[in-house]
Formats: sequence, structure tokens, C-alpha cells
Amino acid sequence: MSSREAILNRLRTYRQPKPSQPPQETASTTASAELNMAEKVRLFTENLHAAHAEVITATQEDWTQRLLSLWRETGVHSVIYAPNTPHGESLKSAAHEFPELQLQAYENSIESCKDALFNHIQGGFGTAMAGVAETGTLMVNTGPDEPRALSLVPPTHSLIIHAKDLYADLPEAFHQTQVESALPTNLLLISGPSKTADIQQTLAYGAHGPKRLIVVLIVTEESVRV
Amino acid sequence: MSRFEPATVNLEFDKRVDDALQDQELRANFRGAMDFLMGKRAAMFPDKEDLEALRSQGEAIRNRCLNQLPELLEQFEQRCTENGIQVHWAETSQEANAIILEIMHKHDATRMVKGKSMASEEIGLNHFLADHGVECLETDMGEYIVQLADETPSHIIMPAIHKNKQQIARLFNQKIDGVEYSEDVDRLIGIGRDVLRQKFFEAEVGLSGVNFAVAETGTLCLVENEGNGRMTTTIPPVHIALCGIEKVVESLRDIPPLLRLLTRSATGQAITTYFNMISGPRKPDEKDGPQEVHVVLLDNGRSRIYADKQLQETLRCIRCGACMNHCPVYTRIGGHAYGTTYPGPIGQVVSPQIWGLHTAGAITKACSLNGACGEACPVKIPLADLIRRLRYESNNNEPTPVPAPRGQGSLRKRSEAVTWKLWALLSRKPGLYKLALLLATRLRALTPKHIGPWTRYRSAPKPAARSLHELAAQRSQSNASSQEHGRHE
Repeated sequence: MSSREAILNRLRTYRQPKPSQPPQETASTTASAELNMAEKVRLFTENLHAAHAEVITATQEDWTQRLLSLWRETGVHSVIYAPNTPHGESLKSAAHEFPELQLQAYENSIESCKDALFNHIQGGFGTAMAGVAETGTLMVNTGPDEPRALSLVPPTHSLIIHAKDLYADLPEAFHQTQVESALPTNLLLISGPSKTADIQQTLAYGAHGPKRLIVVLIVTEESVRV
Repeated sequence: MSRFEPATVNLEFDKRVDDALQDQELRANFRGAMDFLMGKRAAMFPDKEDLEALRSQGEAIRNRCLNQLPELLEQFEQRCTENGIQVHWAETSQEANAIILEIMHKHDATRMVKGKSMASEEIGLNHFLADHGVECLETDMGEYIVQLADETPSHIIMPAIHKNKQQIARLFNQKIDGVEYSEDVDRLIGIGRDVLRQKFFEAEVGLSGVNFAVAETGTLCLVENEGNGRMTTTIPPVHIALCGIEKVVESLRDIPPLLRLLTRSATGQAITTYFNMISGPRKPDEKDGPQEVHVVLLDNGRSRIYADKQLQETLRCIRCGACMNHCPVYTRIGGHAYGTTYPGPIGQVVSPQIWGLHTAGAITKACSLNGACGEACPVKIPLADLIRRLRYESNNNEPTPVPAPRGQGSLRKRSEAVTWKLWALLSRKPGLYKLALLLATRLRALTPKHIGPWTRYRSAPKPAARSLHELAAQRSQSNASSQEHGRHE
């Protein structure tokens, strides 16, 4: 008998009978389900700040300028980004005014750019599909246009999210985006820069992943009106 | 203590506890850390009623999933296979180690980076691979520190919690080339980051644990803050996940409440920096991610635990560590004193069941049955009850209807058994009981002065001259006669 069969047989033999009345599983876990857009924006931003992330609240018109300026001011001069995305394209066309910036498209497999990724590139830029206000969390749907390493290897990770994609809590975000019907090979929830408290409970940022997380939050008139 | 040696657990337990209690630096490190973690958790659950509702929900979800475990495992296997993840089954730690080594050999791989995995500690993977010429490097900062010091983790969530920053500064200075002594935590973490980045870059295989495995979608979920888990599962061409069979949940909807309980109970965080959900290897049009993903489903005694209705509650555990943070004994003796991979209350329940009571049953002694662990447990495992049950089974030699924990009855002592039998007999026969009391009180001068270890630190107990029964009877007699007397006056 294979190990598989031996394990499954034992589990089947000794399974406990199902309870006749399964206990209630609902818990009133969040009061955030009823939040309006402005409240979600506020809570999302607050939580990201608390997690040591930087948030640029911008509009569809000015976000490229503001992000590129922040990179220039803070010494981020080489950035890898995902092409073939609307935001990647906008970034690329706006970058002409920032000649000192080396903007590199993540076009080929990691094997061809691993050395640059680990040793030279200072920033990664990508898109979040959704956000969770309650925890200040970004949902990143990786795939051909959103490579996994973008948000992991370069020391500064920047990503863009639209206020309309914010949800009150994680159950709502999972439900509304219907992720379970089409899970990517790697779905990520990111809630700040990499950190650790493994040395005497002292918090330090930039353990293995990005030291900085810059979130560009695109708002419209409607999303900030209370 | 460079590697986990199951055979030494019972034998060296008393000595380990003694040594730990004498080590003032160690005790200060644990006291500080446990107070910190308890405070962080408490701040996350301000509303007691909400917490109770959430714990009940966690308990119900885990129970529902365990109840259909065989079906969920099969479904998980099927979905994984459809997603391109290769599934392996291991009944024992030897088998799991062999499967992992074979994958290494298939790829001619000699360099492995590891994300945090207590299951890999349980099966002794690092030393097994080292013996077969594979470099196996821990990348969680705490695990890296512990590996550098040639020790084992002392806490399941914060492996290096027994060390303070001065000790870590000395360790880095001694063990890493060209590193000067510095107590600056940012600098120490920076050093670890630089060393390990190179290793992520070079490694051929990454090995991780699994926090939750989702049956419906064939997804592996990993909870972490550092990003080493993502590095391990993203950069090397091959990813192996080691997953206890009890980790499977039914659907994605079960994840948010369990994740909520896990991070809040463990480190007092509303969520960790990364929640990494892996549902397959790199697809042809993708630019990164491992080319191969393997999951090794590990039994190693879990299906035996599953057989017993009460002990099955052990398997609800989501490995948050809150029970040890709240345990007054763990706080004083620290994780290494237990001598097992899993320390603290959950360790006292899991370890004797995995390695047998004859090997690790003695650690159930280190419990005052105060119940703080069970109150903190996010999935309501009645830890104190289970510890008491295992103490009972250590001494029980009656057959049980389902497979008993290995080593049942192995700590039974004939003298102790006879004493308790006698006690039970006396308590059932009033005549005998009275006779025994009479002998004990009248012959109290003959009570021994030295009774084993009891009198090493305490004076020997001595029965009173008259039993409580006698005194009470006397008093009611004299009351009655004085009342009688009063009436006549």
C-alpha cells in the first residue's frame, strides 16, 4: 500500500461522525462593511502610513509627475516596470522629462535580468488590482504583465491603485473581485515594506524585500467627497 | 544543542529545566518578549465579545475542515495537479526527507534556501540534507540567527527570542567574515539581508512551509513579514512546500477569518506584510516564478492523532504561538528546556503524540493546568485538558478502542500505580478508611522524615494527632452535653 493510501485509509477509518447541528460560523468581525468611498480612502491611507508605507494621493492627470519627482528627490534612478499595462505606458511617456531616470521594461524572463534585478535596479513599478481599507492591504495579481519579482527584489517598490478598487475588508475584496474563479499563479497581499522584529522585538524595515513601499492612490472628485 | 534529538527529551528534561531556571539572562529575555507579545495581542482584541465570536468561528471552520479531511486532501491533490503542482505523500519524516532529497538530486542541486517551516524542523531536514552534501540555509532572520549559533528555534514564531541584541551582535561578529561588533538592529538586519540576498540569487531550490492549503483551488498560503518566504518561493527554479496534512481548508472563504486570528494572536498584527498565495509554477508566458512547484504532504503521526476524538482537537492548531506567550511555565524555562521542536503548551500536546510518550511524555509535567493557554488559543484547543489526558495515557495500560498515543503506559511506575489503587480502595470502603485514619493519627510518630524528592526542599508532612472527623465528632458531643447542661439549669 502506498503512503497516500495508508494515510487516507487511516483518516477514513477513524473519522468522527459529523455533528448533527454544525455550529454557526458567522462572526461579526468588522464594522467596516458600510464604509463610503471617502472613509475607505482615509482608512486605507492611515493604515499604510502606520505600516511605514508612503502614500501619494494623486489624480489620473498628475500621478506620473508626482511619482517621478518623488523618485528623483529620493535617489531612485533606475526602475523596472511592467510594459503592456496602461499605467506602464503612461509612466514611460512621462519619463521623457526625467532624463536621469533609467526606466527598464520587464520584458524577458528573470533569467536574463536576474543580475540587474538583484544588484543594480533600485525600484520596481506595478499595479494593484484591489485594496483593503481595514488593513491597508494591496492585492497584486501577478502574471505575464505583473511579474512577481517587481514587487520583491528592488529596494523600492511603487505601485498604483485606484480608489474605486478599495474594499472595506478582505472577505469583501475576495468576494467582489471574484478571485477564486481565476486565481493567478501567485496572488499577493502586500501591506507595507518588508520588515522584521526578530532581534529583540525591535522593528526593522527592509528585511529581505523592499525597504520602501510607495503607493500611488488615484482619486477622483467623487472619491474624496465626504 | 545543535540538533533536535528526540531520544534525549525525557532523559534530559529535568536537567534542561534546572539549567534554564538558573540562567538569569535567558529568563530576562523571555520575560521581556512574552510581556511584549501578550500586550500586542491584547491591543488587537479590545472587545471580548468580538474575540469570543471570532474564536468560535475559527474553531468551527477548523472542525468542519478536519471532519472532511480525507476528501479535502484528495481534492487538494487533484486541484494542485491540474494547476501543475506535483504532490507527494510522506507517512514518516524519513520518507519526507527522502522525497525532498530526490527532488534535489533530480536537479543536481546542492544549494537550498529555506523559508520558515516548523515541519522541516520536525523532520530534521537541515541535518539530513547536510549529511547528503546539500547546503540548506535558513533565511528567516530569526532562523538564520539560530542556525548561525548552531541552535534550534526556541519559539515557533520568533525562533531567536531567547537571544538579546548583544548576544546577536557577538554572534555576527564571530561567525560572519568582516563584520564588526554592532548592537544597532538596523545594521544587524542589513548584514543578514546582504548575506542572504546572495544566497537567494544562487539557490537552485527553495523550501517553504505552508500556513493554509486551500482544497477548492489548490493554493498554498504563506504568512510572513520579511519577504524571505516570497524570495524562497519566487526566485529559485524549484519550490518545495512541506505541508502537514492537517493544514488543508475547504475554500478561499475560510482564509480571511483564519488569517485574521493567526496574525493577531501571533504577533498582534492586523495583517502581516505579505500573504503569499501560490497556485502553480510559472506559466509559459510568465517572466518569473519557479519552473517547478512540489508539495510534500506530511503525516508523521497526524493521522494517528486524528483517530482519537479528544486528541484530534490538537490538529485544529494554526501555529500562532499565543499559547506559549501566555504560559507561565514557558515564560520561565524558555523553549529549549522542552528539548522538542514544538515547545510550550501546544508542544506539550503535539510532541508526545509525534515522538511517543516514551520519548517525549515527560514534558507534560511542565504544566500547572492554569488554563491560560486554552484561553488565548484562537481556535479554542483545550490545551490543559489535552495535557492532562496525555499525562493519564502515560500511566494508563488499559487498551483503548482507537490507536492510543505511542508509548502509552510507558511512564507508569508500579509503586505509584499500587499507591493510587490503594487510595481508591480506601476511599470506597468507609470501614477501611476509618481504620487507616486511626493508624495514621495514632502512629504519627512513625511517619518517615525523608520522602524522596519531596523532602529535598520541604519538611515532611506529619498527620495530626486527631483526624478532622474525630475533632468534629468531639465538638458536637461537647456542644450537645453543654446544651443539655444549660437546659437542666
